[in-house]
Order: sequence, then structure tokens, then C-alpha cells
Amino acid sequence: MVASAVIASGILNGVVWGLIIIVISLGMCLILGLMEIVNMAHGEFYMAGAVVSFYIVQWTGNWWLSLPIAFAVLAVMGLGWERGVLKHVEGDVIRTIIVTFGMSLIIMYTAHLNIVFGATSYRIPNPVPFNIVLPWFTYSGFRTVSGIIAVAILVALLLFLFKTKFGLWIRAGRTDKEMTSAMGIDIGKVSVATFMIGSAIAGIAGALVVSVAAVNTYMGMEALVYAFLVVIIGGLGSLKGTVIAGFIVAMVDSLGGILLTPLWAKVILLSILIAILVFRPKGIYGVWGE
Amino acid sequence: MKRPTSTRGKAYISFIVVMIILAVIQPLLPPYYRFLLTEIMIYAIFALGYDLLLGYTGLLSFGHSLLFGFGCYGFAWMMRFYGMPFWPALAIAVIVTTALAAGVGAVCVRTSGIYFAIITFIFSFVLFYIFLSLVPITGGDDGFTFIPPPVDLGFISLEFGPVMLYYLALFWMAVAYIVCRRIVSSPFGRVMLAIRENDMRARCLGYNTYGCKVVVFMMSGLFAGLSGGLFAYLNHFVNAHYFEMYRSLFVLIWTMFGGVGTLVGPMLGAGIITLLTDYLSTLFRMQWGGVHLIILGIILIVITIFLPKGILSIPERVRRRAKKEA
Repeated sequence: MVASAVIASGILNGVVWGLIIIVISLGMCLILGLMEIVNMAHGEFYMAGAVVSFYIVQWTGNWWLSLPIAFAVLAVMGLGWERGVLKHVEGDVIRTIIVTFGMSLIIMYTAHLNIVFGATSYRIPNPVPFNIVLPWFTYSGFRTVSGIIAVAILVALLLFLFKTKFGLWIRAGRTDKEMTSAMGIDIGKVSVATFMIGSAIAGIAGALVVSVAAVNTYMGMEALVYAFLVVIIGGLGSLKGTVIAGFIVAMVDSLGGILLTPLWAKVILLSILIAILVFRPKGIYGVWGE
Repeated sequence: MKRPTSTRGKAYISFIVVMIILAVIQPLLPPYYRFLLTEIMIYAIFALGYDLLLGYTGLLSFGHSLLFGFGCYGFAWMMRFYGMPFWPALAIAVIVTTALAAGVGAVCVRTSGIYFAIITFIFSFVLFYIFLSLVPITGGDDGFTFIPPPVDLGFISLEFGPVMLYYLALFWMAVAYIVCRRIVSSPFGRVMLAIRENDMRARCLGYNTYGCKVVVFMMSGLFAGLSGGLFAYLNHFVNAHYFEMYRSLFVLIWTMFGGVGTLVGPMLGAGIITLLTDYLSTLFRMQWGGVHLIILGIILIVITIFLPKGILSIPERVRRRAKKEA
């Protein structure tokens, strides 16, 4: 029974981690699809979200409050970087990647300074007073709650994209930018807003992940690798592919880590990536790319 | 479209002059700067290989720390497990790195542009993780040291020491530069440029662009392996952090700073940025440690936005502006 409990909690951890990865990757996918920006700093936005959440918990003791605040702070940060820096290299894909790479370096090492956050890992106290108790095993209520919030964010995002006028503009811009602006839509403003939304939900994902992992300044790079894996396996710019690939990646990572070793989990992920590249270079649901 | 011979001759003469200056000033250097300059010359080899890929073929790789680290480990393994002499160990380090580059390249160059950058990034991260985990073989975080063997030149055997290292690095940098120059001015170099300018058109003209890109990636790996082997020899120590992301980042900054597609630029960039990093990291210490990396990030962004062709394009820009005003 012990083994099955371990596996069950492994699966649940995989689900929660998968949902968080999907939230991160969807933000990246939105930005990539509309603006053709591969945001290397996306992982650092997520890290910044976790750091903001950590400080809110420190100061107010209220984790729930940290969700909207992380969202707002990261939206503003996204706006600043977009207007201040990325606008200057608009349209040049390679230069954009290099610039976002520089951004990630700046954000990461700013957080790394002792006066900002420092090099230590911190965990926050559990804000959820209950656990999920089943006859044969118990699961952390905090993780369950953050999984549910992640689902809520995903649903809200999909409703926003498919049921509102603004979402329609974003989807139109992805399909044909010139035609959309010919219809009188200010595609520049839509792009900025999309970048803000993408950054902000990366921030929320950071605030959610404190339930699963400790906060440190290296988490951004690692999350970026997972987000890239998801985006490549799912297909660049495909929402459906992102969701499916997110679960595949998180499950392999979580279950492989329990049944085999974390090392083998990484090796399997790399093998999946190579197989996808060789047999389906556009990913599972590739729509955009070569 | 060959450049006139006179400028090429001039370039070679100035190259020889610089090499002679570097060779002559060695006794005047304080030990610390001799070491730093040795390191810079080793980095310059790495930067040359990267420039072949980014500057001449237009492939942006975020995974070059992988090749550099593998060169380091290839050399160190030969020392530690087999106690090899210097030259065979260096040759094996270069060969295994080139082979790895062939394998990784064969998968990665199926894609280009954004995809290529992302996939090389994933590769280098996962291999970093693997090397960090395989502690019995790689030493993981702690790494391992080895006894640096003497360099055997046939008629004389040179003991490991700072002066010998300096000239060794200088020699290999000169060789690497000449080889790279030959490559980019050869017909193959023209094909590389054609791929950079328009992959599809090069393919339509009958060139096997996939094969070419794999070969360029391998050449890039060759120089990374050479540089890594020398770097491991210099420090007679390796650990898994030789694979870390920031080495890919540094080589990108050197290349962008100096000027992509110029060969001289990346070498110059390696020198200036390494000296700058060294200066800044001694300036900012204690709780300000890490500020130098923030400054490097700012430099990377500023250079990419305002000087996309690097500092080597400054004289030309000034000249053009003067002409415009006149």
C-alpha cells in the first residue's frame, strides 16, 4: 500500500506541476504566436512572481493576497520591458532572442543580490489548513488548492481568448497581422497587452509554485527549459499541443523521478524531444514554424 | 567576389604584428595578467568557432557550453583515467567534441532560427544536469583535479608552467585564426554565407544545406573542444559547472560585442569582456557580488539594439557620418 500511495502522490504532484508548467508555457505561447518573440526571460518573470509572493507572505502573512499582487507587478514589469527594450528590436527574431537573454540575466542577478533576495532557498508556511485525506493516503491541501487555481486560470484564459473581443483581436493578429491592422485594430497596442498578460500569468504561476517547490533565484532557468520542452513537443504556437505536452512532460518528470531516478526522467525527456524533432519537427500540433 | 589581395595582405601583416607583440610583451606582464591573457586567448579560440556558426552561417546557438564543457572533460578524462601525454589527450578531446557536435548537430540543424536556439538550449541544459548527476565519472559539483603532464615537442619537453601555457595558447589561437580565415574565404565559406542570407535559395541552387550546416556545427565543436581541452589543462581541474549556461552566454556576448561575422571581433570581444568582467567582479564584492553579470546583461542589450554589428563597426559608422555631413 505504501508503494501505491507514493505513486498516487507522484501522479498528483505531476498533475499540479503539469498545470503550472502549462500556465507558464501558455503565456510564452501567446507572446510567441502573436509577436514572434521567444522570451528567454519568461522563466525569470515566473521567478520574479515567486519572489513577490514570498515577500507578500513575509509582510502580510497572507498567501492569497500574493496572487493578484504577483499578477499586477509582473504585468507592469512586462510593460516596462516591452516598451523600454523589446520595442527597439521588433521583427528581428534573432536579435529579439539575444535581447531577452540579456533581460533574463539582468532579472536573475538582480534577484540574486543579497539586498533583493539572495542565493538561499526559502519555503513559505502552508496557508491552507486542511489536507485531502483518503483511506489510504493523504495529499497536501495547499497543492490541491494551487492545482485548482491553475485550472481556473487556464479556463479564464481560454474564455478570454475565445469569448471576448480582445481575445478575438489577439487570435486575428496571430492569423494575419496586416489584415488585422487593416481592419482598424491597433495591433501594436494588442501586442503590448498580450505581452503584459503573458508576463502576468507567468507571475501567477510563480506565486502558485511556492506550494510545490522552494523559492530561489535559479528556478527561472529550469522552468524555462520545461516551458521550451512543452512548446517544442506541443508545437510552437499551438494551445492544444501546449496543454497535452505540458501533461506529458510533467508526468514523465514526476513519475520518472519516483519510479526510476530524476536523471533518467531527464534522459527520457531529452529522448522524447529528439524523437519529436526527427519524426514530427513541427511538434504534436505544429501550426507555426519552419 | 574576392576582396582585393592588398587588404587581405594588410590583414595578415597586422595579424602577424599583433601576434609578435603578444609574444614579446609576455615577460613584462605581471603573473596575474599573464594568466588572464592566457585565458583570454583560449576563450578567443572558442569565440572563433562560435562566430563561424553565428556570424557566417546565421545559426544562433545557446548550447555551446555543452561543447566547451565536453572538450574540458574529454581532456581531463584522458588525464585522470588513462594518464595520457599531452598531445594525444588534446587530440582525443578535440575528436570526441567534434563527434558530439556531429551528433547534436545532426538533430539540431534540422531546424533553424528560433527552433535551433531553443533546442540547443534544452540540449545543453539536460546534458549539464546529466553531468551534474553522474558523480562517479564527472565529479559533479566538486569536479576533480589531475596532474598536468609536460608538453612534448619532440626535441624538448616543456614542464607545465605559466610561461609555457601562455605560448601554447598563443600558438593555438594563431592556428585557429588562420584556419578560420581560410575556411571563410574558401568556396565552402561562400556557401555558409549563402545559407545565412537565404537558406532556401542555397538549397535551390543545389547545395546540400543540411550537410553544410552539420559540418559547420562540427567545425564549431572542433574549436570549442580545442579551447575546452586547453582550458582544462590551464586549470588542471574540471567540474560540471563548465557546462553551465553562462558559458554559452559569455561566448554570445563576446561575439555580439566584437562584431558578428568578422572573426577578429569575437576575439577582441573575448578580451575586452573578460578584462571588464574581471575588473567589475573585483570592484563589486561581498553583498554586491553578481552586479558584474547585471552589467554584462545591460551591455548585451545595448550592443544588440544600438550596435548590431559590434564595436568593429564603429570606425565605419563614424566615417559614414562624416561623409554624410561633408
